[in-house]
Amino acid sequence: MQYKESGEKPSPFKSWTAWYVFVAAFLIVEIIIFYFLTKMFS
Amino acid sequence: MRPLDWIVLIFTLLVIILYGMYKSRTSRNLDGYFLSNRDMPWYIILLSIMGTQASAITFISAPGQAYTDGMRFVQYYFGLPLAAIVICISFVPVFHKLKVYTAYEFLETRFNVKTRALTSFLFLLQRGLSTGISIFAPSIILSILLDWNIYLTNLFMGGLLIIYTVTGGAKSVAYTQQLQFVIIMSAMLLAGYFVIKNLPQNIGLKEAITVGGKLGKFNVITTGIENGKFNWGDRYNIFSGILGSFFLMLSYFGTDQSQVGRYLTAKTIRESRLGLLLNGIVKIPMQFFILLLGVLVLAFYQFNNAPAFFNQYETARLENSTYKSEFHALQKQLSDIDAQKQTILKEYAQTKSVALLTEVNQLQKSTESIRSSVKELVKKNGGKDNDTNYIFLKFVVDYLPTGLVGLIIAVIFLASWGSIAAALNSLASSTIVDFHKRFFKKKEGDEDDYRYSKLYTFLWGVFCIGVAMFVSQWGNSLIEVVNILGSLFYGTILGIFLVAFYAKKVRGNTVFIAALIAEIVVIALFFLNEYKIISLGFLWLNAVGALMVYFLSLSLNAFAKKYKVIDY
Repeated sequence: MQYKESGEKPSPFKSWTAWYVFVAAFLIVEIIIFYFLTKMFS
Repeated sequence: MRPLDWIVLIFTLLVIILYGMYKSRTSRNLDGYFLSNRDMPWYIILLSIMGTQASAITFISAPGQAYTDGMRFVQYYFGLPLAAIVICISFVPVFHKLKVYTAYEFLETRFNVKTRALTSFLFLLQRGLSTGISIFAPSIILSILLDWNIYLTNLFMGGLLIIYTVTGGAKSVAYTQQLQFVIIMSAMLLAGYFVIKNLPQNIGLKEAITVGGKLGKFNVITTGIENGKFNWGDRYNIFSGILGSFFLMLSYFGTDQSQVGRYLTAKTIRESRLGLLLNGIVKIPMQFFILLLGVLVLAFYQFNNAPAFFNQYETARLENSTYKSEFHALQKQLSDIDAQKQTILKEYAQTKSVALLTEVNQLQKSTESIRSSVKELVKKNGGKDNDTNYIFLKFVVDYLPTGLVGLIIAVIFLASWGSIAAALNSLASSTIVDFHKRFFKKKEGDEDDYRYSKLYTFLWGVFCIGVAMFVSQWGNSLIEVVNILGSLFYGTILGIFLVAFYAKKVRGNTVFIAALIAEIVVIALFFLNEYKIISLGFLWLNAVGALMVYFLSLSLNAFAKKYKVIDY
């Protein structure tokens, strides 16, 4: 069920896809940082 | 609590109630009452989503969880950002374009009325009971810790917020959540500051984390692999965190009206999406810092004597039981170990030699063994042997300055109110939209809708307080039963929505049958795990339920189409 979206500006990115990639990348970076923190302190 | 704590507590609660009432002016119809006329900006949506998800237990239990089990609980939230992306792509546009009041309304458009009614009923059952527990769980902790009457605490925990939730609906809920969240986070940051400030000289944040890490509690990432094999019964690891929690979060944010109702109040699809995505970004670091607080408290108790058991009600009972002498012997052993630890740690504070912490780790193992023995005694004495929920609050009451104790107690109320208010609002909206207006009074005017909405909000409030009172009378074991209810139904509900969005050819009867079969399988798996026939962490039940509904629906649909056995 796809709906056409009109007049939306997902700032600061140009598209929602960029937003989704950013959120997923943020998670990956978090996991990597947590991994190294775990290694560093245990 | 000292007078200043009482002043801070009462003042904070009054501010929230008055603010909620001030923000309660809204249109007297369903749109105004349940959806704030759909005019909320993204930052209110974000805080409202966060305030709904974070209950009092989030703030009380999480540090205790880190204290006993380490920080690996943070992995439970790894599925959230991924779920937020899927919801933004598939769920949000449909809900907005159809202008639904509840997520379940969409299921009638897509399937049939019985699928909508079944899903909404499962939601009401699960959410109604769990909201009662959301009132009881923090109340029992406060009543034990501060010697308050449990029934009055329940009444205050669940009753005061009804004033602004009934009068102002979704708008009051969202605005008070915003203020509540600011207060909660400020108080938690202050608590963190004082934990570090209470550490000995020469011991700062880095050293405290090092101590916690060497005691095995800075285990943020774990794999769940033991002896070369993946342990399916392990609750929190990176795999169950990403996959299992993905399905749980998808279900919670995509199909639970208490959350859907928050982002349906948004002005546009954009505002809903931004709120959800930013929650996906902010939630994990926030939870990380709350858990870190637990590690810091653990480090603090390495430099200071820790209680043998953090629930003082149970220790007082032990003092008056036949186990008194055994308990004293264990306490003596514990204080001897504490003295040894403190001698080593004094040296560590001077030299910062990490090698010394290996000895502390050995001693901590003895501490944990003694704590287990104390827990055994508590259990033998007929008490509840889990003191995780009391660890952080016991520290707060014993070591934080006057005023801040009152503020942390206020945080418990506010965090509870945030999630309870959203739950009451969503319970009322589902009752009136999915049942009252759908089956009984279809043609009522705006004023009648508004009046009934307030009435249902009030009645659900009374029901939830009733559940809390009932649990208070019948004991803690009911909490576990009700908590399990959520994970038993979430997968199936999600499966129904996944079919609705991604299996366009599947019709109502097919998904209805698939959902019933999947639910039976999920319940069977749960009992097989309970009776130790299989080992399966509860997060996996969400994935099993959702995938079963989806693939069974596809298979049944193909079968039905071929043999024309049911109206597919």
